[in-house]
Amino acid sequence: MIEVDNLTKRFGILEVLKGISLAVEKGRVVSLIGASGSGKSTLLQCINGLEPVQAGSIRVDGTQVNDPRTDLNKLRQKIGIVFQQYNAFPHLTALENVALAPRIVKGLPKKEAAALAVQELAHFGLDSKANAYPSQLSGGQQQRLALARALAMQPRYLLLDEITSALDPSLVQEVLDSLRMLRKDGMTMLIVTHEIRFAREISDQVAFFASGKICEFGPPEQVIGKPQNDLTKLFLAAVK
Amino acid sequence: MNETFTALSVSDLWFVLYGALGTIALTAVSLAAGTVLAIIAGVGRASDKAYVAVPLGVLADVVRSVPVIIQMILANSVLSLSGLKTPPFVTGIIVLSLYMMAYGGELVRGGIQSVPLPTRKAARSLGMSLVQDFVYVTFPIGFRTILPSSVGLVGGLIKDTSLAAVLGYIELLRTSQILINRTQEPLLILTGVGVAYFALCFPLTAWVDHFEGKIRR
Ligand SMILES: Nc1ncnc2c1ncn2[C@@H]1O[C@H](COP(=O)(O)OP(=O)(O)OP(=O)(O)O)[C@@H](O)[C@H]1O
Ligand SMILES: [Mg+2]
Repeated sequence: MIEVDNLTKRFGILEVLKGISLAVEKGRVVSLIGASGSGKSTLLQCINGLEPVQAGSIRVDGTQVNDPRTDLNKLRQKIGIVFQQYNAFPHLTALENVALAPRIVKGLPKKEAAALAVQELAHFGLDSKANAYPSQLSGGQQQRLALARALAMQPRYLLLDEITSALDPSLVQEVLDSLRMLRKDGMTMLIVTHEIRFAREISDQVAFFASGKICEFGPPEQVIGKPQNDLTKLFLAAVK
Repeated sequence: MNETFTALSVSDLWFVLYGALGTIALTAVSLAAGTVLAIIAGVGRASDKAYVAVPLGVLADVVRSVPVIIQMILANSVLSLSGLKTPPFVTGIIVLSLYMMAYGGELVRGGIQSVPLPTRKAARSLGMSLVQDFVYVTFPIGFRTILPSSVGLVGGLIKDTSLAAVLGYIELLRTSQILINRTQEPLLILTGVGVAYFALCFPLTAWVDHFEGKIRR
């Protein structure tokens, strides 16, 4: 379980997260929606310790992320993250991209890591691209590669930061289909998305973010279907 | 024909070879030591800690603005004044390694900073340590970016080993001067030495072309 409690995050004097509390239970899918700049990406990066926080707490399976004694490298193996920007390792083939971390972080023998990578690539429909370099892949393929790379570490949680927003509209569906599949597999996910219809379909809960606070939280039928908060209504009207 | 001059002989070829070995030895050791120093300096320069980055930057600026030949002479004087009897080979290594550290460090810094932050964050998010991120992700990506300029730098190093002649170090250029004084055949000898420098640099550029061809698939 991911538990965020009264979290404050500042960049210098700019307060980006102003007392966020949020829980993601095992097996659940929670979506974060909200305007640009409201702090959604920042929250995801705080959760796996890529960004330090100033107050409050984040716990993942009971381990406090913002505790200097926590071994973040170990904790991060439990939390996969995929970003908005393509960030496959450009000097490695698709297969090597996926096999690298299992090999050097988990210490799997080269052959086993490669076998695992083949399996993950196949899972995301990239079997034929194993030996391709990222520059030879389409945007949709690169994002599926990023998913395969994250999943190869067998994380318990997956944080997804607008992974379709840099994609050509024609490629969005193939990536969303991958997420539907992950949901079926029971993966716990925290998804930042601008695809409101998709958020409604896939989420157990939706959080609406506005200027560093969660304004509304609940099942999608409520937050997206019958929003109570005026800011949520305005946002939903604007993105429709 | 002047009696004090003697014609080139086969043994002179061995002398030139000896000089070439001097150039190779000085290049190889300075390159190895300088590369290690350059990586350390580059990582320090890319660091967000000012007390690491700033002094290294000042050192780089100084080393890069003073001509290498002056650094050779200065280093030699300072070392002998301080009572250290460093052989020319060692003095040469010290100066040229610092030279590599200064120029190479700036290159390495540029290479590190050319790697997009999200790529590095992705590496860390998979559980890689800072060192693993550097070894498996940041360095290989940055290295490809700075490869062409690194070649220029190493080529410059090979040529700058000739400045160690002022220390009395016997290398390619120094052997040719000695031979020219004896034989008065500057054209022939300098052509030969030019070819020798080319032969030293050629494997480097050939390897880089090959490597670049391999990575630009
Ligand atoms: N590294 C940083 N340094 C300084 N300010 C930052 C940094 N990263 C983000 N910010 C600021 O924090 C605020 C929140 O940014 P964040 O990227 O979390 O928003 P977001 O909700 O993900 O927006 P978007 O939908 O555009 O991705 C913004 O005002 C942004 O300018
Ligand atoms: Mg964002």
